[in-house]
Amino acid sequence: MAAETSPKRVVQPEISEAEDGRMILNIGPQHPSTHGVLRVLAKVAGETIEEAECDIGYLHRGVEKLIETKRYYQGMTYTDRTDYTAAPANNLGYILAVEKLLGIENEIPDRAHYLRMIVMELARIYGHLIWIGTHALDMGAMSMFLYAFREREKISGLFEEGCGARLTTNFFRVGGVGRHDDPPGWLEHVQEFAETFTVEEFDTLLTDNELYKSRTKGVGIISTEDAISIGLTGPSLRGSGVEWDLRRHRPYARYNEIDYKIPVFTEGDVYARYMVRLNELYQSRSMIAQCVERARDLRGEPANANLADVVWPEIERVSGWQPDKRSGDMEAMINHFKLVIEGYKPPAGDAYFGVESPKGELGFYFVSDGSGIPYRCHIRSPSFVNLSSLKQLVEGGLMADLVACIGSIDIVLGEVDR
Amino acid sequence: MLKGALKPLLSNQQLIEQIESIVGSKLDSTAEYLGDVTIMIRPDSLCEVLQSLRDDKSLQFEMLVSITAVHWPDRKDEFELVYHLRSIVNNLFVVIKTQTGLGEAIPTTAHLFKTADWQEREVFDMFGIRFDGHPNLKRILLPEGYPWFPLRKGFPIEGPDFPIDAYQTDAAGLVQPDDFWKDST
Repeated sequence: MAAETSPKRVVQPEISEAEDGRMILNIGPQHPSTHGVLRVLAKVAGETIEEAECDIGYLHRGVEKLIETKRYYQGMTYTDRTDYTAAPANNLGYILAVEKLLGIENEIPDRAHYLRMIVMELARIYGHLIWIGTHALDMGAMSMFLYAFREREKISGLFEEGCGARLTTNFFRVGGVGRHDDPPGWLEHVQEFAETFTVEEFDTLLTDNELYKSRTKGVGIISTEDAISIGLTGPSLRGSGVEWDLRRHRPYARYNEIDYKIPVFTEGDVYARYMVRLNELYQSRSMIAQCVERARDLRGEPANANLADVVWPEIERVSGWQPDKRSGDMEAMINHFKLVIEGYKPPAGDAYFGVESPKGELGFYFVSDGSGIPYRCHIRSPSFVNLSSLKQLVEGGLMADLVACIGSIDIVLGEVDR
Repeated sequence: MLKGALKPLLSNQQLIEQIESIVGSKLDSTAEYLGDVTIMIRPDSLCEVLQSLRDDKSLQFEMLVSITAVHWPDRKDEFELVYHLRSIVNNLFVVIKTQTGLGEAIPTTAHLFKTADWQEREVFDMFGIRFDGHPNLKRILLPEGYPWFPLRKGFPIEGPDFPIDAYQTDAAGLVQPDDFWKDST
């Protein structure tokens, strides 16, 4: 732990003068249209941004370091707090990486996969609704925010009904979905949501809105080559004309067994990224309906893997645990105790797993040294990498377009800073 | 429009053979673990290998997904750098690992992949690994002037060794001595 000296930071006032006489405008970190604690320093000439620098880290909590001090099953709670606009997506990335490390991917029952996909697609709608509401609000379309948050509230309610939490869901468990498998009536409520959720409302409000189009078409263009080189993923990549979606091209769960299209737009501007997300809302809605149907057909099947050394004690079948006979079965108690105190121990080695979160490729990289605590956990967060494209998006553009560009790459500062 | 292949165009065995035929002399070892191909290289051939894998027509590893490091304090070369590369056109994935000692520098890949700019800064921020030739190597998540590299294994998260004064910075970001717990009188 060597101490190192480096130049000290000087706090900039709101407006200052650069050495070459140009004006530097400070935006954030407390600014409503930076979507969190993002600070942007823009060197401007008139209304044109000549250079832009991001200053991030205001929300850094050391999630990776914290996960490296907890057992595998404890670390998942931190992932809720990275991308808090779509917490189940982080949960899924985390558990799929741990399952890969444990080598139990093929043991997970179908029913667990479909329940995970339902929640994952609800999270995608949840994340995109926050995005569409706040981004449209930035562009001056105030009513979008109200409609988006009205729908989002319904999904919060579904999360609460499914797992007890509205925001930090912690929905899944390694090996299945834990106790959160389908409370009575939950699937029916999800289906009701999928039937009544009206994407068309957002579509008609914004897609042909002349004001919105004039603010977003041809703004913040990023080419296909640059998008790949910058490492853009998710809707931002698909808005730049690359058909790449981990759900389709590197399928996990049961995404290869249901029907959906991958919206791709080639313009690479803010409007194209909007169109990708809007069309993803339609797709997610239909995916939820399909998954609910499959999950209903599998009702009564187990929702957790039959692995006594991983899945703890939430399954009666594995541990002999009965809700009304808590202290009855000594074997079950021992099993429970060992799993809680020691945790499961993946063999020494490393594994990377990426899932398609609403923001892009969310990857978890684990290194195990054979103990119950991860030796190293790296979160490849899509927001962090996508935000690094901001410099390229805004330089040479107008000051007013900065807000459109920040909104269009859909960042969550909790995930950027981790 | 660029389309990703629906299935990997090469099996893992073919991928290893193809990589060996392109950069065989640079490889220390290759391995397959949990379905991913891992190759070990020496740090001085890092840029050459990454560029060859990116430009080769049958591989086209155009996207550098992530750069990270692992700290092994007991090893001679303490840091292991891990690069995850993805080919969209061929739907391939490869892990590249290299090792470096404390105080040694790694060649930057920022001229090959734009994403390396921020990701290498993050590795520097958390581990203190220097990247030779990086255009703007400074802290990214932690404040300038923060004297520790927290993802190294020696950095405690609690207890008497925890450097509480690390949080005591003034408005200019200067680290101040720890007077938080002391009596103010």
